[in-house]
Amino acid sequence: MSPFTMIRLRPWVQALSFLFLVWGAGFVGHYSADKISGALPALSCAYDQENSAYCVLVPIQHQLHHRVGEALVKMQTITATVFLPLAFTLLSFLAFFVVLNKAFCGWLCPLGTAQEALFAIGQRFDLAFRRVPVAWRPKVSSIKWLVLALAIFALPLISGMGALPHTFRDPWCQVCPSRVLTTLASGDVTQLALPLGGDVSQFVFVALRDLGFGFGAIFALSFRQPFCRICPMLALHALLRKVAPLRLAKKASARCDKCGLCTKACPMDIDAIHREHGAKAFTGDCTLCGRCVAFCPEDGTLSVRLGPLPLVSSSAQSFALMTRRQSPEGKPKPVPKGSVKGAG
Amino acid sequence: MRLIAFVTVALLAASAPALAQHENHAAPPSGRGQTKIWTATPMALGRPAGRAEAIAMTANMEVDTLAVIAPDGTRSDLSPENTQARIKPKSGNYHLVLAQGRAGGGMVNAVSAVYFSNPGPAPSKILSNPPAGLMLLPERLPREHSHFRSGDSVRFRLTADGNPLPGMPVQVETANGTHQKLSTDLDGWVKVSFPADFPPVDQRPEEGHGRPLTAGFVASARLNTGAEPRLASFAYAYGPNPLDKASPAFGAGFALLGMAFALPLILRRKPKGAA
Repeated sequence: MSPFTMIRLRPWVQALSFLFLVWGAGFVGHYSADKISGALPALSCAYDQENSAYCVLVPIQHQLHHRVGEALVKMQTITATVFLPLAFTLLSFLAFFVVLNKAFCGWLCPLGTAQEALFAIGQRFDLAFRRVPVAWRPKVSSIKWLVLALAIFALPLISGMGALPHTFRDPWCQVCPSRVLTTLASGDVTQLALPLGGDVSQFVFVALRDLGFGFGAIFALSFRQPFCRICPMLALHALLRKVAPLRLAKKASARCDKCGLCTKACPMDIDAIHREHGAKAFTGDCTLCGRCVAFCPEDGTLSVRLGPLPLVSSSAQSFALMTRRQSPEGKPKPVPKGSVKGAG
Repeated sequence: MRLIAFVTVALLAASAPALAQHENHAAPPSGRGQTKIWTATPMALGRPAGRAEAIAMTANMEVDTLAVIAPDGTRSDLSPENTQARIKPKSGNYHLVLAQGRAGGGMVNAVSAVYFSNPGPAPSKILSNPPAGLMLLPERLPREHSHFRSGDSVRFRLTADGNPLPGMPVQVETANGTHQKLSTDLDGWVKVSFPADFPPVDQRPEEGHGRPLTAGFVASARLNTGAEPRLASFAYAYGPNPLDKASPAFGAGFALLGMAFALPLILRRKPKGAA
């Protein structure tokens, strides 16, 4: 498959995945047991009652809270009944993850798809284009690790031990924008609704969720994948990315020094694709969207591989076709003069 | 080695839906904290008792047999002590509690459901293939992370030995005092809408440790044909509408505020020197 074909195929896969993950209960069945998985490596929200699968982050938080945290407090014997559910969840996640690696982010995640669609709309209407300044990129990239450590592992465990309110049982889910997006998409406004009275922490969580959702929905018109930068799912993927055979590969090339189109095309602003080669070019932030491959003008320098097998390789021909349609940053052609900040 | 790894991963992927089950977020089968008698209708009930056990109970009937039916259809008879019996689940989450006995001079089949956070099959099979006798079963039970709520509608089907019974009266009572009289359609279905009959928000008991407020309900149908009257009931729980205590408008207001914060970031600055 040529990179150009891949880039044209991806929105269709994303659209079908969005339909299936947000409204797919009619196909797979109503109950959790009918779902494709309760440990999917994509942000398909468990609070969406019409979905066909839901993401791994919910059970991890709940199992740490309900089982591990509570068991530690009660000083019960730490038995298989405590850790087995968590192990099963992680193994289920791993089983899915190994098939597609981080392509769950770039090809299947409903939130990722919605952000890409918004960015395409924003650029079609010639809104500003923004990216993370080069000096900030390492710091921004590290936020997702903090979110994974705190929101997915530490806070649910501490809440299960009774040191935090019960609302901290799943702090990421409390603020996850996918929870608002996918429930609204299935006609349910309860996850958007602000609690009136009751627990203050619940009010704060929902207010943050709605604020974040609103901010991201607009910011995504100008900035590629704003939520993905801090997503703990991306961090979880990054932890395990080396166990999966599907990956981005780069051959060293002297011409790369003068180019850098791959980084410009990358929706996650990854510098390493340009500066590194070999295994180092495939970083924790990559979502395997393939844009860097499509915008690489040199035959075979960048490729998406399944083990030793190249699935898609960069080519001058695909580069020519891609650049006829849009700029590496995603502006549809013709690019208005001066519209890309820092270009030229 | 790679083949073994591939087969292991494929097997794990195939079993993932079952393996990935987790916590009990479905509604408990009877209203929390409700001790007063609110109906004379014969009922079976299932109350969670810890994470891997439940207690089956009955009310308003003399019990001949008490059994639990696992999602795969396996029936296990229980030995009640003081009208209660402990349930240890087989595989799967929802199990049906079936009490058979007598009340008011007739035969009774009373059913409830109890949820366990177990991997395994969904209850679709047992709900769509009712046991023998007069049965009133819901089309579906709440999914994980969900409950029956005031305002929701759920279809129940009245069957006798698996055959639908059209045009039969069905009565619904709730622990909050609502009584509804409904009738089955030509295919034996009846649509039950859970009423908004919870007390005003400021008069409701406090919800503790993630356990939502619920109230019991029982749907029942009496068949007076044949040698002796027969009655089927299904008892479970429903909760208040979550929007009683939350405002989508205020939520949308916060979302709009977030949008307003982002607005300056998407507007292009005018190039220097532009008019």
